[in-house]
Amino acid sequence: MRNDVILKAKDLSKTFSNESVQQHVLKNLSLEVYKGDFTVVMGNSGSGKSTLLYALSGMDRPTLGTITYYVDDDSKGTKKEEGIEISKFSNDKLAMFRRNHAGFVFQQNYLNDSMSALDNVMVSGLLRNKDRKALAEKAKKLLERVEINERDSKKFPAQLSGGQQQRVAVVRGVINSPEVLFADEPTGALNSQNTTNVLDILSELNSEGQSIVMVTHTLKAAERGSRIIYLADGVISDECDLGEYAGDYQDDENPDKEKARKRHEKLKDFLQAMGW
Amino acid sequence: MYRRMIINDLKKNRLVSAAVCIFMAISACFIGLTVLLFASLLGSVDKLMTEAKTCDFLQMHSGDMDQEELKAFAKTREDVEDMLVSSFLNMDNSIISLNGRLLTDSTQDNGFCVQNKNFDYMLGMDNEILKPEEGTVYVPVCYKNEYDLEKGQIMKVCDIEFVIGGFLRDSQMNSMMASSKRFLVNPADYMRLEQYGSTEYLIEFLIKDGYDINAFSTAYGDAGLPCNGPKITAPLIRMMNALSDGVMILVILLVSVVVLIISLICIRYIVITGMEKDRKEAGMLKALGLSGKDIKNVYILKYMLLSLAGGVAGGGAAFAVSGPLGRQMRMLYGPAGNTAGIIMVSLAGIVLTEFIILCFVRGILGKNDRLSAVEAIRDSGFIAKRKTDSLMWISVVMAAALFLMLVPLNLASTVSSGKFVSYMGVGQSQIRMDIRQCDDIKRVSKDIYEKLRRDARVERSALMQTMSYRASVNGEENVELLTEEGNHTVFPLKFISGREPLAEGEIALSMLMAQELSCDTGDTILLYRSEKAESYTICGIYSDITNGGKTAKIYSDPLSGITDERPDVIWSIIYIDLKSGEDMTAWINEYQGYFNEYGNSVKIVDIAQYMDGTYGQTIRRIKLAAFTSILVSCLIIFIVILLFTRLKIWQEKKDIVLKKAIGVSCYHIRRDYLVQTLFYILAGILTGIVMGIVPGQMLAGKLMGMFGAAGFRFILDRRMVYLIIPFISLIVAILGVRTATREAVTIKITPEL
Repeated sequence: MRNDVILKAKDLSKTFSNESVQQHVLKNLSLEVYKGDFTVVMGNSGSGKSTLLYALSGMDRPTLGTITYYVDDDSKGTKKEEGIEISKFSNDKLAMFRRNHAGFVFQQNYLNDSMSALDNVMVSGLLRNKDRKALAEKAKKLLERVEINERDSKKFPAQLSGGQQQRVAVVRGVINSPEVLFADEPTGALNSQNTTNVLDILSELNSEGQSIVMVTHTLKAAERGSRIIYLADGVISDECDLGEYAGDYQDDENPDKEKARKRHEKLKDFLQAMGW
Repeated sequence: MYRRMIINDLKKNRLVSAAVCIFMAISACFIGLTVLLFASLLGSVDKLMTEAKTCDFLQMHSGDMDQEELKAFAKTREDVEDMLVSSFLNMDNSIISLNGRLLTDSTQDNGFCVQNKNFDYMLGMDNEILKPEEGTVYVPVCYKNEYDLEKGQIMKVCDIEFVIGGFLRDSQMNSMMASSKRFLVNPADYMRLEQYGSTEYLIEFLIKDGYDINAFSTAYGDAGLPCNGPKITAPLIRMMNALSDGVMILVILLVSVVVLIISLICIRYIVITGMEKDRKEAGMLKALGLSGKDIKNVYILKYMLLSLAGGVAGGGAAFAVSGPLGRQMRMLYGPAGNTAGIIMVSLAGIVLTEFIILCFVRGILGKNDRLSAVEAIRDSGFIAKRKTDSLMWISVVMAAALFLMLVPLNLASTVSSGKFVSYMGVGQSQIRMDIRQCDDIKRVSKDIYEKLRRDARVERSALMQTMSYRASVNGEENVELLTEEGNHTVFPLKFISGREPLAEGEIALSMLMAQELSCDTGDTILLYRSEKAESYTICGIYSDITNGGKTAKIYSDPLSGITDERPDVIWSIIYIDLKSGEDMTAWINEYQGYFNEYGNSVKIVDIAQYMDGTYGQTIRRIKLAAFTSILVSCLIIFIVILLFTRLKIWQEKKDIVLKKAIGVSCYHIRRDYLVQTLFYILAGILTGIVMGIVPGQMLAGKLMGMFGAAGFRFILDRRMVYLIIPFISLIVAILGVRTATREAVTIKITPEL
């Protein structure tokens, strides 16, 4: 049984125009994202995965269609049942919306070089929470959870390893307890060990109720999802529900788990059927 | 948090932050200095005119006049507050000496006056009303430096000696642009001097507040009162006072504007470089929920901090430099009245400069604001457009820097060139012999000239005798015309229009004289060479910057032309060319020996030496200005090229990484940048040379025209203009590119791919 819908995209289209050439990246796409789900978007290169993610997250506006969030919004005094349609928001309004309801992790961490790891997390937090002391406590706890100790948290990004940097970026993404965490190939620039670490953190967050929408092209990352959506040529080809295997996934540490093996097989079959 | 972001950013980009700060400081310094000097000048002039109670209307008059008639006129006018008639005893400059130096070279009409009773006071150095004792004289303060005078030194008028009791500020004639200068003496001394000069009158009126000076001026003219001299009103006096030092301020203003424009161009690129560098972080911040406005505010805050530092440093420098630069001004016009007001206005100027820069920065930041979070994170078209843009600006700045270098340099080479004499109303010769201050100039000149004609070493020579004649055009204007008589074909000078006088009845006028008399070639002019007026046709107009730029030339035979009935010759000059191979120094020494009997009356100099004596200081100043502007321009070139090339490298970081990845060496990458940039550098240099010569010449021509040199053309030091300066600029620019491309070496392949 599915949870409540947290995000609904209806008839989304996105067209990029470059001089006389027009490229229709998303074509009349509709999608619902459910609260607490770990939604994974897959597809070949150029299928529109990242474009969909940016549109859903409010980082970019669709050319056509609507995106409605079903969340409580204190600043507007709206209840989640009413829904907030963001596709026509101005840039500033979208920024305000993102700071309150969305978190981000990208392939590149885009940490600010001139600030310490802790400050990078705090910048994001301070946008919403003005209680600096409480926020610093929360940031430190979250950083410790991803194994960034206090000493490392004072370091500048350049002094941290790639894996550490990406973990800081994940903490930055969730510091404001967003309704949805959007991740665009979050492990794309990491080695195997760091990839596992970051995926573990995402899975752990999801098990605590964090809704996640992640774009990936690796099987290893996709296995963490509870729902896989496959995009082809700007439309959803099909989707695969892995909800029944929640919490069990195949990785280096528990390769023999039965549930994990089944989950792995189901996903593999689905992707093969999609021509992946 | 923002504060920490800004401080960390400033720390991390010390060089770039310092560059922005320096540009902001330089702009603030120049604009602040301009405002400070200008406000001080206006304040000083105003205070001087108030304390000296300068008249509102002044009519100069020479010849007879009826003072009662004037008084009666004043009584009928309700707008007249007070009037006075002040005498001015005009003296021949050749009988006045200051501390042993004759005023023969002075272009001013020097004369004596006594202190006035009710207004138009001559003030001392503390703006006190002067009352000279018998035997003392107060000298116009502008002569203090010119003749290196001190209190207690001696001034002589013929045989009468005066002790210089101090210096005076004359609110009407303080400016070097005013053609007369008043020396203040005791009434008893004035009477003793009367026999040596001719009296002119200054008819002065004070007009009550609220009445129109121009209406009074018209009424005075209509009343048929004495008026055979110029008429001046208080606003004109104020303008003349302000203009004399104002020219220097105008030059500083011009430089300020150029510096501000270059600063804005540089700041623009520094800001864009910064944005390029931070683009992805800024995009991430946007993704996290910072609005474009928030990000812009962080930048603005950063530039406000830099602008505060730049403003303080630049303002401090402006106040420090204004001390020595304004010394002459303070000496001439005294301290300004409203110091607090002047400081406030100057501060406002500095704040305005920084405000303009910040608005400009805000405008540039606005472009970044338009990018969505995704566009900022991903590469977008916004960047590609700027690639050629930055290179084009390299050309613009190179051209501006070359212009700044070449204009003073060309001016210096022109003034120090031997050919420059053609602007001084004389032909080009090797040697110049001045005969002045002796009992019988006519006879001495003739003797010397005849001796020269017999000397086989002399290729050619020409005797020119200068006299002052009264002249009139259309029977209206009566002017004293300083006229040089002789054969002007021997050393022909350059004519703006027409040609030199070849026969009796022809006259050539200097440009300023022709302008003053509003006449042109072909017009006729009446000249009183004797009692009877003779008609002369204007055959040509030439440039002359000597004697206030107002002279004339007529033809006469050097030996028979100057007869005894003619007025006294004021001075004679003989121009000489020696035959090739003759030793000029030995010849000059030999002749100087012959003329020892005349004392200091006969001076022989080679023209180069004469030019150095007359214009040496000016030339040295221009050369110093040229040298300074070369240094400043080189610095500008280096900084700008460094910044622009670094921007380009940042824009093309991915290309560089790719090139490195496929095995292109750093040497080749750096070389490619140099080759790409070189075209724009060379284009800038070429444009700069053309600008330095063509519009630069127009600019310098306008400036020289004010002093009487028309049709001004640069005399170029070709080696400097076409070789040395372009070479120096090129080397500095290459150095800038090489320094900037070190950045390309440090870019690592791995994290970028």
